[in-house]
Amino acid sequence: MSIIKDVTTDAFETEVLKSQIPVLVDFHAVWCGPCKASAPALEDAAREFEGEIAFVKVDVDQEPAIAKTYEVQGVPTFIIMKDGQPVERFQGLVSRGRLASVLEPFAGADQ
Amino acid sequence: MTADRAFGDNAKRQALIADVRAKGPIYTAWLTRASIEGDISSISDDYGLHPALARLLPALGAFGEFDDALPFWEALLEAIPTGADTGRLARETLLLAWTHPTYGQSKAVAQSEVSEACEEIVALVRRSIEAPVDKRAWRAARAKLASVRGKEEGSEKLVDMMLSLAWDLDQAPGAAQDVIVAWTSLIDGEADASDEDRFSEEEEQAFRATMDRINEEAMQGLMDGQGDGDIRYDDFLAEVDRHWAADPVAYALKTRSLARRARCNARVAQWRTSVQADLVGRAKALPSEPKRSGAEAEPLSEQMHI
Repeated sequence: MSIIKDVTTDAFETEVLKSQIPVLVDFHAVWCGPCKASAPALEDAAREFEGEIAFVKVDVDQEPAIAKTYEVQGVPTFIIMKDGQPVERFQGLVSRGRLASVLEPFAGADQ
Repeated sequence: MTADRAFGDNAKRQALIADVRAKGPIYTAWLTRASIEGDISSISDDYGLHPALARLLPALGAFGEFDDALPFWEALLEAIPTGADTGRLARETLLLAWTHPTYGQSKAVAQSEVSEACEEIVALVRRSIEAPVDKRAWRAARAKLASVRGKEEGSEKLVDMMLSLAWDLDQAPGAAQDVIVAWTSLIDGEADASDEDRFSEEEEQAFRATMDRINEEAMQGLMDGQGDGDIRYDDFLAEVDRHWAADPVAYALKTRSLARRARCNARVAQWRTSVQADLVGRAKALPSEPKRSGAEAEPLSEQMHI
C-alpha cells in the first residue's frame, strides 16, 4: 500500500499549491517502467522526510492539465514545489541517494 | 542487527537453490529485473535472507543478464550457514563500494570535505553491523554529504552512491540495490574513461548524430512500408543494421563503439566476479545461529517470532 497518494487536478491546489511544506510531485504513468522502478525509493524517502516534505503523485494520463501546466515532456518527472512555485525539477529513474541529495536542502532545519 | 536468520533448515536452502538453478518462479521474481519493481518480501519471510541481501543479490548478478550469475548465486546460497545473520553480510558487502582494495571508490576522491563526509557514512555502516544506528544519525550523515556535494568536481555519481549507502537497511533495504547499481555505473564509467580507443569529441558527436539519423530513417522507412501495422522490434533492428552497413564511415565508428563497449563490459565483469567472490568468502565465514540446547534449529516461521 503506497503512502504517496495520487492527486487530481481538483485537489492539486489544496494538496500542493497551498501546502505549508515543500511538496515533491511525481509525474508518472501506469505504463512507465522507470516510474515503477523509482516507486520503492520514493516510498522510503516519503517516510524519511515525513512532516518536512510532502509527496504526491500525478498520473499524467489521468490529469493532463497539470502535466501541461508544468510542461512535463516525459515520465517520470519530479518537481519540488515550495510556496506554490516549482523550485527544482529532475527526470528519470531515481535512487535513494539521488533523492536524499535533492531533497535535503528543502527539508526541515531541525533534523 | 536483525532477526533474519538464513533458511531455517537445509531442505529450504536446497529448494531455493534448485529453483534458482532451474530459473524457476522464485528466480524469475527475485533475481531478474522483475525484482526492481516487484515485491520480494517472500525471500525474507520464507527463506530468512535479510531484505537488504535479497535486494543486493539481483544487482550484483547483473539481474541475470550474464552467464556468470547463476554459479555465483548457487555458491553463495550454499555458503551461507543455516541460521546466519545475513544483514551483516549485506552491510559488509556494501562497505566494499568504498573500501575494496581495487574497486573501492575511496581512492577516487581526494582528501576533502566530500571524503570526510563519506568516511562518516562508512563509520555509521560499520556501527550498524553490530548495533542499530539511530535514524537521526543516518540523516545527519546524509545531510552533511549533501551539503558539500559539488565541492569536488566530477564526484556527483560517487556522492549519490554514498548517499544511497547512508540508509538504515532494516528500514530501507532497497538502498542496497541502489548502492550496487551506482557502483556498477561508476566502474563502467571508469572503464569507459580509460579505454584504449575512446572517441574524440568530434567522433562522439558524429556517432551520436548518425545514430539518431539512422534510427529515425529506419523507423520512417518501416512506417512508410507497413502503413498502420505494428512494427516488430526485430524488423526495426534489421533495418537499422542495413542503414549502418550502407555508410562505411559511420559503420567504422559503430564497429569501434561496439568493441569499446565489449571491453568495458569485460572490465565490469571482472569487478563483478571479484566482489561476488568476496561475498561468497564472507558468507563461508559467517557464524551459524547458536542452537538452543537439546533442540535442532527450528523452522524459520517460528524463529521469526523471537
